[in-house]
Amino acid sequence: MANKDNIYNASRRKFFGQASCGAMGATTMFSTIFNLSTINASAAFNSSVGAMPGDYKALVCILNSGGADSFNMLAPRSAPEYAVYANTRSNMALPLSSLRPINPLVSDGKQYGLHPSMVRMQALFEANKLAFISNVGSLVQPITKQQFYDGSVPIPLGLYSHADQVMHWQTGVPHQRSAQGWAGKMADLLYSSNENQTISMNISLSGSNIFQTGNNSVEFTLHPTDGSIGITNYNNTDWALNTLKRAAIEGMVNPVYQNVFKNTYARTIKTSIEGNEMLSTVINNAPNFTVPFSTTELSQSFKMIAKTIAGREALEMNRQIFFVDFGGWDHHDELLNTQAGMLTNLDSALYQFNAAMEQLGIADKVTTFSLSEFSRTLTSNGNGTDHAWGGNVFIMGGAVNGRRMFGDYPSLALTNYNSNNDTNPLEVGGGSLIPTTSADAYFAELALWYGVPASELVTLFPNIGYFYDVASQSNPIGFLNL
Amino acid sequence: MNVRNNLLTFIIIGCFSTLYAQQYKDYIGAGNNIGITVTASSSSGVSTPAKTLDGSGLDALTYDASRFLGQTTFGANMETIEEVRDMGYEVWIDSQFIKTPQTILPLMNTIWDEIYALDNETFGPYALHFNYAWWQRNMTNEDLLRQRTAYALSQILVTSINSDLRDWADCLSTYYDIFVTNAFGNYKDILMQVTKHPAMGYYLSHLNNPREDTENNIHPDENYAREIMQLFSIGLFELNPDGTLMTDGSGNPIPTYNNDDIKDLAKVFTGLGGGATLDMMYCPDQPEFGTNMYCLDKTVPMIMFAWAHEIGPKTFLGHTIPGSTTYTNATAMAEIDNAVDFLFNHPNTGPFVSYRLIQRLVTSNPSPAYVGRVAAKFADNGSGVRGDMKAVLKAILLDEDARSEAAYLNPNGGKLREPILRYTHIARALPTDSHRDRYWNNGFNYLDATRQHVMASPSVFNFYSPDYQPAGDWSALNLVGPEFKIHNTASSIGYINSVHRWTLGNSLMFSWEGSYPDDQDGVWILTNELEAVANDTETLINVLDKVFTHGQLSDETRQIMRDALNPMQTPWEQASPNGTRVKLALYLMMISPDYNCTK
Repeated sequence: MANKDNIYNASRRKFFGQASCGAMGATTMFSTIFNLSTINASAAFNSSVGAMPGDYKALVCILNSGGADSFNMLAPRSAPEYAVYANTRSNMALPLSSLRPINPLVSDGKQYGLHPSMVRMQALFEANKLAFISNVGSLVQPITKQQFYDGSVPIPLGLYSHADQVMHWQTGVPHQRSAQGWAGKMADLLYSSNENQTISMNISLSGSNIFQTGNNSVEFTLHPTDGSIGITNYNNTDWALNTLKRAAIEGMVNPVYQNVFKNTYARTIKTSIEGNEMLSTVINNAPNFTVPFSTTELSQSFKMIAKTIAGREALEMNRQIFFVDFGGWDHHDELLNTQAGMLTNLDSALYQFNAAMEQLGIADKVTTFSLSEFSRTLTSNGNGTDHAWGGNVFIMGGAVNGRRMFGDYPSLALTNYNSNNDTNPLEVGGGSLIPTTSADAYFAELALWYGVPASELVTLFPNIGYFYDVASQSNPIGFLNL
Repeated sequence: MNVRNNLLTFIIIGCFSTLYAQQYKDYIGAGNNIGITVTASSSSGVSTPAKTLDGSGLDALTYDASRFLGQTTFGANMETIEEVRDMGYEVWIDSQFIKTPQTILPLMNTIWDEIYALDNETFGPYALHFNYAWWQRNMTNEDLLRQRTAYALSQILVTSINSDLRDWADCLSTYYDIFVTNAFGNYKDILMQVTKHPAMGYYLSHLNNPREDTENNIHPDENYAREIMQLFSIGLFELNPDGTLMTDGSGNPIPTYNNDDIKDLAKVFTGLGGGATLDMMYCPDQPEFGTNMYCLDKTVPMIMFAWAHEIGPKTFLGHTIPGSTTYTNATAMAEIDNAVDFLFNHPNTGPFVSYRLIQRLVTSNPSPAYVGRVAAKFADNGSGVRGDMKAVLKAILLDEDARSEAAYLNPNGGKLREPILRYTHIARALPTDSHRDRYWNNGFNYLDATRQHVMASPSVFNFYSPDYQPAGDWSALNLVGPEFKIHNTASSIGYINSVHRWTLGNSLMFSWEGSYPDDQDGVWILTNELEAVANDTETLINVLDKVFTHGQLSDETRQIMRDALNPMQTPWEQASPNGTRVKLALYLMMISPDYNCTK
């Protein structure tokens, strides 16, 4: 663990000793009592580093888990590049005429198009509200094909494995296994931005996840349609039974247990009870959104996020991170049909969410971005594609330098092993591509926008120095207006 | 708000420090234990000197049997607990080994026939009907250990209704029945049958997976090759015989395979297609390579179509299948048998599978020594047989780390009960009644509330990974808690509200066949036996402690239950004496940390 973590822990302990939400330390019963007398001191510490009211920012992470085939989401349209694409992808290639053209403000001289299902995303791109980054992936250090094969430069642990790589995209620590994610660590760093310390900075629509797990913080999960679920009859005092029941529940969930299992079990319920009243009120009072959300779980999840953001002032939150896991992209089979359907759902949800943010007048305060553990082999396995490496991601929102393609869109050629000239120095088998932009650089730019100081980036992303000069004061990639 | 909660905590702690938990009012000598020293009350599990003094020590054997059944069944009532207590654990296990397997498919077909006869427009049989059959089976069966083991295996070799499989209950049922049938068989047969079942073939896409087509840049599907290694047999890293990671000279774990191994193993899993077709329009009379799931009889194993099988040698993990330029269906299938056999015999497979089974049955954090002892039985059951599930199960369940007092007292022992196991527990431990004398439970309501139901995980990675580490002190303690992956601010309350429905809400389960109030099809708990003892709060709590918390109910939780139950006296309950008290007692028991975090 980096030394910086310890420094932050030392100062944070003053506060977390008495905070209810996210307090994870092995607090003893004595310290609980002791902290009754330290609340004032902690409150002073808190307010001295708090952000200014009205300075709201939210990150919305959509994890396309399973490994989305993103070279069919963003594909070349220029004749020579399309010919290479069609040859490599064989029966997984989309027809040229079906690709939806995009017109980036800055051109690399080639033409590109989106998957035919990405109707709204095409419009968002053309309206400067959406951007792509090409060939992003987990990297420990920059690496060449030669180094990849001779093993002289470390590669991500468990490359091509779902379980490992989906972790890397959430932790920003691709060289080892970690139980903490970069959103959780950002909450550890920036918790004092929010007046409200009862409800976590991290809200999940998909349950517990590594991305939002920090050293001292954990996500608050909302049900995609029910939102914040209260305990049945918890606030109903008409009948003495309910009063007795409630007292008993409080008696069970309030103590700090020595047993770590019981403590985690009880603390989760306690956190939910404490957040429920405020969150359910906010969610119930959310405005109607003029562009209706679809009934898919994904759209409903985004609707719940929009409702929560609408209540940001009532919640006294200046910084929030939302997480949605949209799974099912592991298209070893039935790629073309299944991906088309899933992209339609994704396309609609993004459009609806963007409209809701514009309606609330805070589109430039909310940045939505995609993760996926890897892209898929460019080559076909007959009816689908397999695990690969670098892929394309998208970013949406008013703060995004939209209508741009960042990173380098790679050659999609396969290596010709009979030729002396390497036909594709990035291709390492089956159409798996060495990433040319590190996922860490992508995350770092999002973190900087969110308010993490450049000096703290290495705390979040230990390998960032290989990809970005943290003292440079420039953007790691440039897709956000910092 | 925090201040008030903290004060409440303080007050309760204050009470505990002075309170004497007298559990048995009628026990001679209770309360007069000053100066008396007792060093042990029993040689088994949950005994402590203090419990001998307060009377509860007499129940140590009962508690221990209850705890044992918590690890080996979907839940036991008092009668079964006493029976197993008197019988002895190994004798009971042996008696379970010879119970007839009660498979899901025949029951599912019967249920579906009944539903279809009433309405031939009904969609199905799909996951709903699998759920009906699963609950009906597990509420009425006698092959308790077999069914619990089958469920554990279904969380290791995962397929899920979170795919098109949801539409094919016959496919789901026969897949699950692999585990029911082979729970006391051999892991090699389980791995082999799973590999060839169309549910897995569809789920991990080695059904209709053709050989390489270099001209069109088409390579064999790598999905199954990867996951059979990563999840069903050897795992990602080389393991010591006790399940700990081997390391290289620099202290790094050693990967078991690389992408080249996967690419060659993928070639082995080519050429499999459906084994039979359905008698439907537009479907071929005989299966062909490429015949899709809709036309296939999804209850029969996949078969080999040699022409679609990759020719030539295949080398993975240093093992070479010599291969051929021409194959018969039999010689091609022999390569799959060879590969599965090789993986089954890999030294990792014993500790890998043992660790996962221990986590499902006994504890989230087994000691390396415990894993090592079980893995040794996996390697050799004592008669030279590898993969003998009977030997593995006995090794897991009779081990000192499962049975001894030290295991019970280990502060890091045990696990968070799975949501499904909580539900089956209350349903099996207490008498129930129903409108139609059946247990057709839809299951989907509980899945939505708690994120768990049988064969309903989000992906092949199960509901949780074996190494999931919740936030907080877990990292410092070097502990994992897989089940906490699905315990969050939404699902934890979803569970509590489910318990509310079962107890105070009088609805333990219901089907989607009837609709209230005209055409009911519900199941509810019968509380009359508990009401009969509920005049005395202490007795009621003691009964529930025996059945649910295995004698592990803490003094603190007891006091909380007393404080809630004692004020509830007549005239509240003229109509149903003690009815609401019993239901509240059950509610509090089922949501308590003591119950949910079991050892």
